[in-house]
Amino acid sequence: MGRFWSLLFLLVPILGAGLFVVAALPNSAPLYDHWFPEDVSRDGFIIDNLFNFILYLTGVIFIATGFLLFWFLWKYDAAKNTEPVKFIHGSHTLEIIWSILPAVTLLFIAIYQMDAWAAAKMRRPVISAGADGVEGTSDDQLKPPLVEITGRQFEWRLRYAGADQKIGTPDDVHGVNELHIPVDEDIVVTLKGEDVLHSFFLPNLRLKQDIVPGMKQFIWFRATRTGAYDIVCAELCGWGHYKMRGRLVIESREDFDRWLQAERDEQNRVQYSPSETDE
Amino acid sequence: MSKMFFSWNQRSVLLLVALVAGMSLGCSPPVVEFRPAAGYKLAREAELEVQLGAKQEENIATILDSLFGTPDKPHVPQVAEVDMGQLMNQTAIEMAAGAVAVDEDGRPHGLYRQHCAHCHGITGDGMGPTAEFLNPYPRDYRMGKFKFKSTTTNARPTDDDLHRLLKHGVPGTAMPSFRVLPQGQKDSLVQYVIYLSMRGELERLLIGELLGAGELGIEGPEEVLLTLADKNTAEFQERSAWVQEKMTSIASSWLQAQSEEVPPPPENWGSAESRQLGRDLFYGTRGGCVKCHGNIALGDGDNTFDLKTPLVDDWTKENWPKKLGEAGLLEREAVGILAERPLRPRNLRQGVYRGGRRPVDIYWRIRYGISGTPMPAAKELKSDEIWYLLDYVRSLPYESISQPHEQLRNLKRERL
Repeated sequence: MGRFWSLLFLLVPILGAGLFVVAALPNSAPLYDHWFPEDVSRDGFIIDNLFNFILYLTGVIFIATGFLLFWFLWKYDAAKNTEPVKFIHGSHTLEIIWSILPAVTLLFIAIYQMDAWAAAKMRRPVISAGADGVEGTSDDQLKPPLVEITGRQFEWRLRYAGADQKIGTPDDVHGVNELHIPVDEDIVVTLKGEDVLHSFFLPNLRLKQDIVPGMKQFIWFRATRTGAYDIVCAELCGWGHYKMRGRLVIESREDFDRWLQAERDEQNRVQYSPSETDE
Repeated sequence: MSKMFFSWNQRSVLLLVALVAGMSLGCSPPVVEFRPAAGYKLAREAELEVQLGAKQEENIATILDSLFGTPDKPHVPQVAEVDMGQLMNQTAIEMAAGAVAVDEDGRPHGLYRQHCAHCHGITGDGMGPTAEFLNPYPRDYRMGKFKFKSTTTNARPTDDDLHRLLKHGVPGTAMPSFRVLPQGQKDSLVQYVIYLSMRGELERLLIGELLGAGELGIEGPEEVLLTLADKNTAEFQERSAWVQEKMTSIASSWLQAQSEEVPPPPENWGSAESRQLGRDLFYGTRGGCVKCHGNIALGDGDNTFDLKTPLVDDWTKENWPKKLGEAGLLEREAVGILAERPLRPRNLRQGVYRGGRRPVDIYWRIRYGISGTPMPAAKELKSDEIWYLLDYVRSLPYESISQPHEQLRNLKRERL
C-alpha cells in the first residue's frame, strides 16, 4: 500500500476544489448551474461578496492544507524511510504564528462584515430624518412595515397594512403564501412566528431571518427586478417543513396597487349569486 | 485477541453484505391499500347487534375495487345515467394517485400522497400517520360531509369550495395553503378528494346493507352481496342495479352541489347601529350564539362545560358512541381510531376564520351552519339579521379587550 494512501489524500483538495469549479461554471454537468440563484436585490451583492471572500480565503487554506498533508504523507512514508524517528519538544515561535494568524484573520472578518450587518439589522429605512435632519438618530421617522408575515406550521400568513399604514386594524388585507411587493422601493416587513422556529428566506434577495415565536422582528430590502421568485423556510420546523414554500411576486407600483385593491375587494365581498364562479 | 471470530477481510465482506441487504430491503415500496371503514363497521355492528362476516368484508373490498380500483391503479367509476366526466377524469385521478414520481413528460404523479396522505390517509379517512398530533383532526372524507362550503347544510361542497380551501388553507388548523401549486395539480387533488369521498360513501352503504339493515334483505354473516359466480341470476341483476342506483345518487349529490346566493347587506350595514343589532342577536335567544361561543365570545359558552353531552362532531360521535364498554374501547384502539376529543367553539376575538374571512363566507357559515358539527344553521334568522350578526362578529377582534397586548402597551405609555 504505502504511498497509495498519500495519493488518496491528494484527491481531497483536488476533488474538493473541482466540485466548486464545476458548480460555478455555467451549464456544467452534473451540477447544472448549482451556484447562486439570480440576485434581484439592491444590496444582495454585499452578502455575495462576503460569501465569496470567505469562500476564497477558506478555499486557499483548504487546498494548501490538503497538499501539505499529502506532502508529509508522501515524504515520510514508513516504507521508504528507514531512519529512526526524531522527537522534538516543539517550537514556541511556530505556535505563536499559528495562533496569531487565525486570530487576526477572524478579527478581520468580524470587522469587515460589520457594515453589512448594520445595514441589514440596524439601519431600517426612514421616511424622514426628523427634526434634527440627521439620519440614524432617535427622532427618525422609520418607514412603517408594508406587510406582516407570520410563519406557522406550515405556511406564511400575510397581513398587509391598509390605508392607515397600520397592521392589526380592520382595513388590513389578509393573504397566504403569495407575497407581492413593489419594485425599486424600500420594503419593510414585520416577521412573527406562531408556533415553532421558522426561517424566512428569500434566496433571490439574499435575505434570511430566523423567526422566533413571541418575537417581533423587522427586515427590509429593495428589489430591483420584476418577476416571481421563491419564498422558502430555512429552518427545519416540523414534518411539513417542505410545505412552507411561497411565491414572491415583484411588480411595478401600479400593478401592486391594483393587485392589493383586488385582494381588498375580494376580501370585502358581500354579494354572491350562483351564476358566478369564485375561488 | 489473535483468535478473532472473523478476520478483518471477512468483516468487511460481511459489512458489505449487510449494507447491500439493508439498502435493497429498505427500498422495496410497501404495498399500499385502502383501509376498510373500521369505525363505521364497529358502530353499526353495535347498533344492529350483528357481526360482519369475513367473507362479507372481502366482498365489500372486491366490489369497491372493481368500481374504483386501488390506490396505485384507480379508475373513475362507471355510473349509470351520470356523466362522470363532469366530476373527474382518469388523467387527473392518476396524477393525484399512486406513488410520488415524475413521468417521462415531466408531469408529477402521486400528488395526494405527497401533499395530503400523511394527514388525511391513503383512504381519505383522516387517519394518516400525522393525524393524531393535530387538533382539530384532519377531515375524513368518507361521510361526504365537508365543513366549509357555500352550499346548504347537508349538500356537498362545490368544486370552487374545495379549490378555495386548497388555495387559502384552513387558518387556525393544520391544513396549510397550497396556493403555489399549479392549477392543474390542484384540480387533480380536488377530483381525487371527490373520488375518495364517493368511494367512502359507497363503502358505508355496503356495510349497512351487508349487516342486514338495508333494502336487499341480506341474511346472516355468510351471505355476500355480489359474486361473479351468480352472474346470470336475477338476484345478481337486482343487486348490481342497487349498487348502481346508490352510485348514481352519490354522484348526483356531488353534481348538484351549487353555491347558495348571498343577498346584499341592508343599507345600514357596517354602521354602529348594525353592530348593535347584531350584538342583540348574539346575546338574544333567537341568535343563541352565547350558548357555545360564550359571554364574551371566547368560545367558552355554557355548552362547553356540559360534561354529560360534550360538544363533539359527527365523526367523533360515530367512532365513540356514548355507552362504550372496555371491550369497545379496546376494539377501537386496535383499529387505530383517533382518541375522542371535545370540540372547542370558535374564539371569535382572534380574527381567525377557518372557512374564509370574506363577509359572504361568514354569511354562509351562519346561514347554513357547519356540516357535521354542533354549529347549527340559522334557519330562524332573516338575511338582514344574519348580516347584522356577522357585522358584530367581524368587529369583535378589533375591540380593545381583544388585543390585551396593545392595551398593556398603551397603559405603559400613559404611566410614563
